[in-house]
Amino acid sequence: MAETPSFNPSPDSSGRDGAHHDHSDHETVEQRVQRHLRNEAELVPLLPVGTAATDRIQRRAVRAQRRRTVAVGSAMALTIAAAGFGALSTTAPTNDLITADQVNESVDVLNTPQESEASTSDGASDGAPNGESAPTVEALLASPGPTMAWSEIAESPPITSDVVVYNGSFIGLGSDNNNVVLWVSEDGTQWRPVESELNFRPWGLRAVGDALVVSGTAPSPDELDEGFIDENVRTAYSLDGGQTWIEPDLAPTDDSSQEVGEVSIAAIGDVVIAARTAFSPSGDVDTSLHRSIGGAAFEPLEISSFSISDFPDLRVIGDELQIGSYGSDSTVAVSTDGLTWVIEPDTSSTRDIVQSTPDRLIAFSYAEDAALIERSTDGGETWLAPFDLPAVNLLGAAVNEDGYVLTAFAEDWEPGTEDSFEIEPLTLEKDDLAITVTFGSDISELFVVDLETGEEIFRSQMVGDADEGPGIAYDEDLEVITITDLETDAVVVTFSEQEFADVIAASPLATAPEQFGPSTLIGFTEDGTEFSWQTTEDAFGLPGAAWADVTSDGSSILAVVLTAEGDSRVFIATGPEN
Amino acid sequence: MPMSDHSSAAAAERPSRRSRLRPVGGTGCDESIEIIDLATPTTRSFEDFYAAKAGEVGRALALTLGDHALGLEAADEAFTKCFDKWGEVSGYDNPAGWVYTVGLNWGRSWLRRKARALARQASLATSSAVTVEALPAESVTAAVTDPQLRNALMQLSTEQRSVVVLRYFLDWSTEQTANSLDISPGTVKSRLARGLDHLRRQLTTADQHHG
Repeated sequence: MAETPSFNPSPDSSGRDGAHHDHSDHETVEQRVQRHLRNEAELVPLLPVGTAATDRIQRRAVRAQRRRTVAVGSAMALTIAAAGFGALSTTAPTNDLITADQVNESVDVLNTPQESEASTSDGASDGAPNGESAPTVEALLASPGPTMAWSEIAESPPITSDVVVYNGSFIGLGSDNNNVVLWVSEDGTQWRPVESELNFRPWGLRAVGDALVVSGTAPSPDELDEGFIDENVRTAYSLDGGQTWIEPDLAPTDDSSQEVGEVSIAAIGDVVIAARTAFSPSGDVDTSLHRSIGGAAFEPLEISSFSISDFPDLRVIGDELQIGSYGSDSTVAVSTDGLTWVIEPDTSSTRDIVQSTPDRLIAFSYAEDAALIERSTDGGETWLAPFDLPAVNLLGAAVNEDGYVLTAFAEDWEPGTEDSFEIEPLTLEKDDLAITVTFGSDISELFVVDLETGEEIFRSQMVGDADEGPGIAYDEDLEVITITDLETDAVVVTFSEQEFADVIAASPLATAPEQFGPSTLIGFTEDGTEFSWQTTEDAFGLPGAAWADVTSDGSSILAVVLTAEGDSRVFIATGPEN
Repeated sequence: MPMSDHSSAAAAERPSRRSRLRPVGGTGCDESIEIIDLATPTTRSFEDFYAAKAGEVGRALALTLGDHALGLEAADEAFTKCFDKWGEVSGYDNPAGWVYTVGLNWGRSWLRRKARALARQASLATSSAVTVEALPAESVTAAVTDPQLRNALMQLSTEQRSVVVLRYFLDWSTEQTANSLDISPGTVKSRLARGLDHLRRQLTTADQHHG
């Protein structure tokens, strides 16, 4: 404490009494601050210590590891978590069907070609590129239940059938799955909640091939730790668009002491594959593959040609099942029937498009030991060589009007954890001394690269969210971020605050969930042709609406919008005629 | 309008790249650093470290975040992550500083998400903005002995408040504080000075108002 400020640091240990209120005129601010902090600290309960406490931390750490690698939850469930803290008022959903008539009563923008999307605020033309006609808009659903904080699309092939939307709200510190409601529709006109059909509380839903897979938890008291609740991960799947759900029994038959952990499920046709992770009391992890036809009981598969990674994530790419192994023998095994698996050395698997400019796209791909940034300057027709950037988690990326890309990265990337990484827009803050770029977690480095050439023109260390890093300046009046060459002091590139604010999260489509104001929706037709749709601030003719989610089935765009009235509506934007 | 040039000045006083890893015996800390009195870093057990530091780190986070429950939750999250990475963190000069920073980031992240959700909710409902500062005040405010000072502290930026808490509650040195927050000692000093200046002005105004 050699540098403790030069005043009497000893706190008054007599407790919180009136004497503390009587700050003398001779008391310095420093003394008063110290006295206050120590007094207020006495109001803060001490964290419990001892063996029981550290054992609980150990169990929390193990559970956190498991949650990080839960396959089904992925970004979708995390998006819920990011979406809706707060005192939202929700009511329990009913099983009543919501009909199209009810929709029509409250939606007055049905089947309206959106002339209001004729131009954006910056004068860009609407509709698809190359003079194609603008998509038409159809509203399918309004208010599928109580007002929710979040809505997402989980499945949309084809867009007018098997549409599943889930709404979720998230309330309370430390809770993961409050009030998530899944809604299912077979034709987009009638909807029903599916929560009552599940024996657990869902918190994540996604389509994996031909299966809808829902993951959730069934909390139960911790047998070893009174007063704590275990979150037991549960998984179910549906092969009929959410009409019926099957929770597979994958309990080990040869070792009853094992506890089933995460289950990843994928389907091609009626072939359903499940990857199960089981834990033994000693902490050992056992991973196995199982196969079912049409919802029948699962049979274990004997896999000897490769080692399945712990906590594997099954995917369906095209007509192939894929399962990864991210260990020292990194491989991806692919199969079309679940019985015969072929190891493929190329493990590049996940590609998320992160930029909304129609002709300038940035894709983030995960490979066996690297996270790659690829870019396209022709709207995704061709993808250029990846930037030479380190294998770290991508936090966000933006392209300014001059074609420079700003990217930010977080902590070291751990292969296999990409799906669990929480996606949020970057935010910019400024205080007296520093520009801080924050993402809810540490940002380790910022890069600026030339989109055309891939040349890195700037790199700055951003440690924590407490420092601006050298070479970055911010003009509060002009709302411009300036990147300066440290050697020449010349301005290298600027990003307007709006461009920075437009930094978006990885999304299957190039748009910005939660974003108010003009947006560009981009869809891809079956032949790969891109079509886009510029919207004005009055998205879908609904002033103040915010994007919740968009997706495309190759010919249409399905969008979920949160309206200014607080309900959510589903829209279809039909793509251009081919 | 000229650009702010504080970054070039700041760049001149610290290395352009800093490592997140601060192995024992590394640079950047002077002899005044308070080494936890628990044997050597390599032999410290997490249990001992937790027992020694859980209380003060939890309270420091509660004071910094201005929300006691959130501070303890943040500490719990941070100690959990610390356990996960104990092999690495135990080698740091000041593991408690690492835990504090991780907890602070977690707590701030939580507050940002909450603020965004509230802002969105408010904008949907009333088009009125909601900021972190607009979050409901804690009931604990009524219990503290110096509510004027507490209110003034909560008006500081989190960066400034964290420096104040680390320096005046945990009695950490400038270097310890700088290392824990991964900022330069100069930044610690300037944040502290600006923070105290703000407190003086606020308290003077409040005293005049009440006097």
